[in-house]
Amino acid sequence: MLKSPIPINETLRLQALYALDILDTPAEERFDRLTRIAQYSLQAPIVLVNLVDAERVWFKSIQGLEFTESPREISFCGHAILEPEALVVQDTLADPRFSDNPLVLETPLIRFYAGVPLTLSNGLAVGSLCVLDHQPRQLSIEQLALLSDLAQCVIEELERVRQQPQLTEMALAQARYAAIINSSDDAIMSKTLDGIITSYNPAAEKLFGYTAQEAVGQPMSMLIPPERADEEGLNLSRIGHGERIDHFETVRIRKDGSPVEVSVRISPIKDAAGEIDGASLIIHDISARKRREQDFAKISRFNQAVIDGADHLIITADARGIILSFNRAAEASLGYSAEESVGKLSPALFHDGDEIARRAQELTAAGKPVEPGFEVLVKLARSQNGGDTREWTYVRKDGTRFPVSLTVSALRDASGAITAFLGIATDISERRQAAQAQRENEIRLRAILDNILDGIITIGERGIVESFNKSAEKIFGYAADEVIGNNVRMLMPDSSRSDQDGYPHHFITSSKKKIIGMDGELLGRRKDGSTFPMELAVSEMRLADTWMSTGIVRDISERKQVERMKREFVSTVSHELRTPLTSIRGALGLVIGKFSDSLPAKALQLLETANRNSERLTLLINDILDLEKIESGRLEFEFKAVDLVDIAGQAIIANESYGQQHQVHLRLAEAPQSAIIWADEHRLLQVFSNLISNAVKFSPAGGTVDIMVHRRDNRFRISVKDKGRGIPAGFRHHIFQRFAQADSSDTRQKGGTGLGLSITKAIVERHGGNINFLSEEGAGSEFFFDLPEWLEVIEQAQTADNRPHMLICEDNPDVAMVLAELLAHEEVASDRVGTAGAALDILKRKRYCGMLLDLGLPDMDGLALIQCLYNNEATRDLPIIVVTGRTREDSGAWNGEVLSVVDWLQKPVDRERLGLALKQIMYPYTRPRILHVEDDIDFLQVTEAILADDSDYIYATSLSAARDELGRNDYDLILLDLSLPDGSGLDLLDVINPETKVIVFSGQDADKIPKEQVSAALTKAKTSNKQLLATIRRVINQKIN
Amino acid sequence: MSELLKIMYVDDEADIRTIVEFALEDEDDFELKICASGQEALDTVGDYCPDFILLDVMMPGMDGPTTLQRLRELPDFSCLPVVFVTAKVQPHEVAHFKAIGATDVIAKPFDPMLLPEQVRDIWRSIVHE
Repeated sequence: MLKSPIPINETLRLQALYALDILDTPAEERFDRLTRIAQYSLQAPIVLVNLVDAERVWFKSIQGLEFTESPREISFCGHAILEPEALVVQDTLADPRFSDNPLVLETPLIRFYAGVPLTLSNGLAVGSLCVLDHQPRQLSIEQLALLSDLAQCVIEELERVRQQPQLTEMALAQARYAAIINSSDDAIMSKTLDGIITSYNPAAEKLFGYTAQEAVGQPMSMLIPPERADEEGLNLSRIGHGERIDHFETVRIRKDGSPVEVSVRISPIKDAAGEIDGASLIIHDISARKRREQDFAKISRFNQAVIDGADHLIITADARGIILSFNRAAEASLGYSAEESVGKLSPALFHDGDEIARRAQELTAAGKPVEPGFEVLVKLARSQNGGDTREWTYVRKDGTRFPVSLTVSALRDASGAITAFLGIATDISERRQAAQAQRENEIRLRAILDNILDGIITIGERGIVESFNKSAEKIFGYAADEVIGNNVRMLMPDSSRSDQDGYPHHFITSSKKKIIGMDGELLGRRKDGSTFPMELAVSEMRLADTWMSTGIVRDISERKQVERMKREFVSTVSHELRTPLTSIRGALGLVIGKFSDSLPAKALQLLETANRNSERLTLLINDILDLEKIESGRLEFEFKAVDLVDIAGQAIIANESYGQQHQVHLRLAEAPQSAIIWADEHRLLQVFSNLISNAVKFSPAGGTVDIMVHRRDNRFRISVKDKGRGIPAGFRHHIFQRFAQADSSDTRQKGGTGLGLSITKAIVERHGGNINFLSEEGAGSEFFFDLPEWLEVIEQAQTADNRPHMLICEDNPDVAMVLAELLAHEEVASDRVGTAGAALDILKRKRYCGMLLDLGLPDMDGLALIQCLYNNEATRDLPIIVVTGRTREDSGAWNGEVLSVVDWLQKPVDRERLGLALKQIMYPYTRPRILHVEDDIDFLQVTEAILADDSDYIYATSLSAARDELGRNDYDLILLDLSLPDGSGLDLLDVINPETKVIVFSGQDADKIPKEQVSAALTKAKTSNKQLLATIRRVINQKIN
Repeated sequence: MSELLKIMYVDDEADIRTIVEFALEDEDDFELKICASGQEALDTVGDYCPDFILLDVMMPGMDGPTTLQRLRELPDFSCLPVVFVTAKVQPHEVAHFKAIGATDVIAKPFDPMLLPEQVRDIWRSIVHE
């Protein structure tokens, strides 16, 4: 194929082509018209106007072809432009220049070509007009001439454009304006004087949402909100008069109906003749600006509101001292209005003149000379950054005054020059009052503290006294200065001090808000060394970060004295009453007992009356004495485990004769085999007697009183039931009151002191019971109370529990429970038994590491129990801690030393001493022998530091050393490393005694450890010290159990 | 109870002395010596040599406990059973009397008709120990 050749004038040719400015422009009818003519007249399927560009042939007009250009080198036209007249190829396949041209062989399968060059008037051929066919053919001379004529028409058309340079410049200018208008951010539109839109730029499209097509030709009014419809008419008429309308702000409507705030400028447009025929509009979207303005206004209003809402008086003044602003608080506080102040007054007006003068003197004296007046207020603010704050007195318009704290600061412009002064004042009258009130309050509190009769001591951490009031001074004889800063121990007698080193600690930790010591009392020590009984109440509080406690101390020597005197008085009175009573009763008793036969019946009757009343008087004295003791809490009880059924039986026997006197039968109507409770037998008998005698008294002759004991869960109910007249409803609610009797005539009829039931109630309550009654008038009464069952054995220590187990043998269930709690606190589990029998029983089936033993057991003396345990091989070595009210010396006859008694603790039990005794019992367990087989010396040292306190710690650094050590000594525990210089630690397992526990403690996670020989495996890096200790304890405890 | 029981009763209160005398005088197995003060008791105890002493507590001059203490200081009477007959019978008082060496306490007012048997009971318990 012959590539289309490049003409010698190619550069010029291309310049000429480009000057046409036609490449890549849209198809134009003027050219298409000509190609259509050619197509029709020459009967050719394809006709083109093509222009030969540097690399391509571009078709300006196309008939019968899909594409718009083709490569120049394969083009026919590239050849045609070189021809003077025309290039005609009758059969492309027959022409060697084109036979292999892709345009021939493939689409569009050109078999015929005829092209006339488009040679411009300057002689340069820029392209061709060509006809193509899919089969070979010929053109007649006429046809060729037609083609040439048409080509000439094309050339003319091409030249026509080129020959209008002026027009083009205008077009360019227009295009530039158009570009400016199109790229403007403002909407630019034009309209006719009738208000029809004639042009509409892209910014307008954006602003209003209508496209140019939609807008042009439409009335302007579509963009104007109805309420502003007048605007348009007015504008149009002004424009019509040649007026220009400068920037007015208005609202327009978008296509979507939303309003937009705009600024509009309208100018008249004149036609060529100078007549006004329309208007241009430049419309600027000002909604953002409006929004900013609104925001700013909002902020300003907000600031103003803040300033006005402030409690502070905020006043600004210019540099000369004239007020610039004056907020509401200033108006309200000072009584001046902003109106009368701003621009007129000086802030100095509100000040106390004397104060200003004094301050002026001060400043002058301090080297800042100033005349009294406004300048005094701002003197310091002038020369410093930040404000100058001080207290002043403000004078209101009405002349009244109030104190303020005023901060004055200078407001400066960018250059640092002062533009104004800002004064912010706070009314501090309340603050002053509060401070005053606080001072007064402190004085008052101080006065209360100092005048209160109780000594009040505050104690900080570590028992250091921090305050000591006047009464404390009086009580202890020390001045506060002598005590404050010292340990509170100085206020305790020596015995207390040595007893518990941590005395303050003790009362801080153990007795929150509770009175401490035996009977809530403690001994205090005065400065002179004398001691006195005191009551101490301690409460803890947290102040900031430290704990402190407040101790309230009351010297109770006097009260103790009074108590003693009262006791002595009661004792004396009862003695003094009984002495004559002894004679009266004795005399009457003897006369009636020995001489009744020789007395006249009347005399005997009178003597018997006298005798009965003397007996009643004796009872009354006894009851009053009992009641006095109950009230003062001194009624003594001797609790032990007793059988309620037994006591009921005894009570029936004791009251049988009384029943017989009234012809009333006493009957134990219902009772279990036994009912063991924790009680004072004699007091309980008193209760039975009271209830039985009451029941008898109110039973009809021949009646029966039923006494019943029956179980209700783990309590027993005791009832005494009569079929008497019942208790009158009105009397029921005060039946337990003192000297209460339903009918005052009963006193004579029935005997009794009227104190029995109140004593009964008190006794039952002391036993943890409640007494109540059921009664039906005319049908009888039933009094009943419930008492808890006493359990002989309370088993709590579970075999699964890893803690050591102890047995508590103590008949008082309350004490037993306290002991169990103390043991639990020491990590010891326990079972409780209440009798020696139960203890012996349980020891046969369970193993304990020790026993806490009370000596006063109901069924056997504790010492006898110890002997009994010692005599039995199985229990001989059982360590025993005796817990008793007896001192060791009291049991002098018995030599406890030979037995396994570890310690002898006095009640109440001292927790620390019990802890020590327990340690003694646990000794072999809490201080085990541990062999550590390990070759890393550093690691051995660390482990020794952890374990040496609680164990005998020996180490071996090799297998052979370990073997030697194991041969010599027994160990409770081996800590075993696996990799040792002379082999694996596991090799030792064969020589370790099966009793000895093994914990593998090695650097690697060992998985091949024979579980049956190793109790635990720890990995060095993963094991904390705490874990190590815990594991050792656990393993050793397994050994115990 | 074949032997004659020699009892010394000491009380400052004449009426009560009379009552005790009347209550015990008819008992064939008792021999009674009555004293009106602790001092009198100390003065006569050596001659009379009682088997045991019934002693009032509240007496002017020398009270019961002091009398007991003095008695114990006499060589032959350090172990002589002494029973207080008193209205001071609150538990702590009884405990106190026993602590200072009293064998037992009989409460006032007592039933004069039962007094002889009460005395015999105490004596039996002393002999049995």
